[in-house]
Amino acid sequence: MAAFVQLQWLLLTRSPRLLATLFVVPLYAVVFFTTVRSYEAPELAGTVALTAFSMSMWSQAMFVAAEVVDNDRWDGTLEPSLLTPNAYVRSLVTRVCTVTALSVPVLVEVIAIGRVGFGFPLPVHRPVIALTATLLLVVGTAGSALLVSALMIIVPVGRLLQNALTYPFYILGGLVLPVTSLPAPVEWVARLFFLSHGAQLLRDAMSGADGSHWGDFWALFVLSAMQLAAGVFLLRRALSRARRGEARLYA
Amino acid sequence: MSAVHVEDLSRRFRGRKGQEVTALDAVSLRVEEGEVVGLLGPNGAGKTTLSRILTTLLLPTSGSARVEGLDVVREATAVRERIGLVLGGERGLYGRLTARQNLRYWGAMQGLTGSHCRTRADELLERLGLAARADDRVETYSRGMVQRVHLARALLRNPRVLIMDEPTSGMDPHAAQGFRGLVEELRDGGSTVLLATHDMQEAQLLCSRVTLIDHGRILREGAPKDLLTGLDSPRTVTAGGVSAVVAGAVAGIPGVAVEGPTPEGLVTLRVTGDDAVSEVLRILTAAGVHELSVAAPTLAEVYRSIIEDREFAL
Ligand SMILES: Nc1ncnc2c1ncn2[C@@H]1O[C@H](COP(=O)(O)OP(=O)(O)O)[C@@H](O)[C@H]1O
Ligand SMILES: [Mg+2]
Repeated sequence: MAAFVQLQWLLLTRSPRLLATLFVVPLYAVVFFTTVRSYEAPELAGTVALTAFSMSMWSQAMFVAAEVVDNDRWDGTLEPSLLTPNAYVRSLVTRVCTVTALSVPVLVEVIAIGRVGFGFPLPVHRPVIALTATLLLVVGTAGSALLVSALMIIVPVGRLLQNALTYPFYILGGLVLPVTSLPAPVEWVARLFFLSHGAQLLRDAMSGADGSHWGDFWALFVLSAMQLAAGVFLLRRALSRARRGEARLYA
Repeated sequence: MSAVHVEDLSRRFRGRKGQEVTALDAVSLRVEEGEVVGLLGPNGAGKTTLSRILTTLLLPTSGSARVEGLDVVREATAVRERIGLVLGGERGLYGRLTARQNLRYWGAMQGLTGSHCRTRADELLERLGLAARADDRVETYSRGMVQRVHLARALLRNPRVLIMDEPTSGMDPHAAQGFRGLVEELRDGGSTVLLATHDMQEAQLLCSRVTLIDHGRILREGAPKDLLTGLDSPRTVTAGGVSAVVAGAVAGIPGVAVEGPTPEGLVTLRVTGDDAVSEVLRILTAAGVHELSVAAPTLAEVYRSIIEDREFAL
């Protein structure tokens, strides 16, 4: 597993484009925090920080992590990888999780910028909840990225999916507004989506809201695990299609 | 038990417009333990399809294939442990990583662990002459060096059978020769190799047997020298200082095809049959021609006479 993490780390650090998230998001954060300050609405600073983080994690997953298989196809490394299909799936899961996890520092960056640069308190009242939610969010988001990476092999228009899968999911994930403020039918769909529970937990962890968090916690746990399982399942499907000659092994 | 045993193997694809493409058509083939067998054919012949099926990357439509007695469909996992695939071309490795990093990753993929993986990678880098550049990125390598990394990856688990798919394609002649040297070493070390290529000379140099394939069918197989004698392939006679009259006289002999003479009096003859060769030489020497060479048929000639001329530039 260390070898798989190392591979992805080397691939990421040796291509500057791939780590862009870590450098671009803080700039956006500066813009957002400036807006928040000039409207004298410091109570929104926490929401801004969380939205910036969760949106960048999701887009990092969709645009960087989800491309691992397609990139392997371009590099011609997909074919030799399939000589050891089980190890390849393990490798992909590890690599996609690595890429997704690399957006976690964004949260720290954004909070630091808010505190140091703008003097917003941005407290984290429940660090354990925040940490657990972040971990589970990484798992679920990586699962979604695996799902997309498999779709990119199975359907010819896979790359179009990437764009389609961003903004609607920012809404469905409750990243922009809490899902409770969505129209009822949309809210129901959103509740089936792991992101909405993760976003809620993070908000609660920061605001220190009272009450039980177990409902959101279990929903996040189960839905993230399901997301990961679905990703692995579809990936295996994609690879077995390649073996049947129905999907191209090379670009 | 043969190292590779293919029986009645067919593979059909659905083409872009929904039509059926037959990439392999009832192919049967055996490679014995320790043999280097050439799979010769033009682009689109079905070589890559066969390599993929043997390495379990692709399922056959019908027929069977066994490697070391193991079925490539039902016992795919066991086959994968015993087989090495050597791909040709620039791609197939992580260019942004060094050769050492690549080999360690691919070793981990193949189930080698920790220090064993590291020593095995170092060993192969040393053996294949890559040690000095092992910590440079693969994207800075020459084509010949990339190919040696491909070979090193295939050898990580020390497989008994190697499938090579046009390993020297796109290499300069010098690098290709170097690579052939490595294949010779493997052969002398007892490895079994199935070598797909469209380079006749390469096949003639390395292979104890060759199989000619086109349109997914096997056209001929045998040892290079048997193919040469069994088939009355033409010898090539080149002569300088030949007048048009003499050239005309030679052209009249049955079994002779003439090219030229050029304005400089150079003719190239393809002469089929021993009697015809004697007659050609008699006429040319009688006419006082002194610049003369006779070349024995090569696999290229066998190939040309069996496989219809397509995109071939030999
Ligand atoms: N995945 C595929 N889908 C459709 N046709 C294919 C596929 N793979 C190979 N073919 C076709 O099968 C034939 C044999 O191809 P291939 O085995 O690659 O030949 P070679 O390696 O000898 O050049 C070609 O006509 C090729 O277009
Ligand atoms: Mg080929």
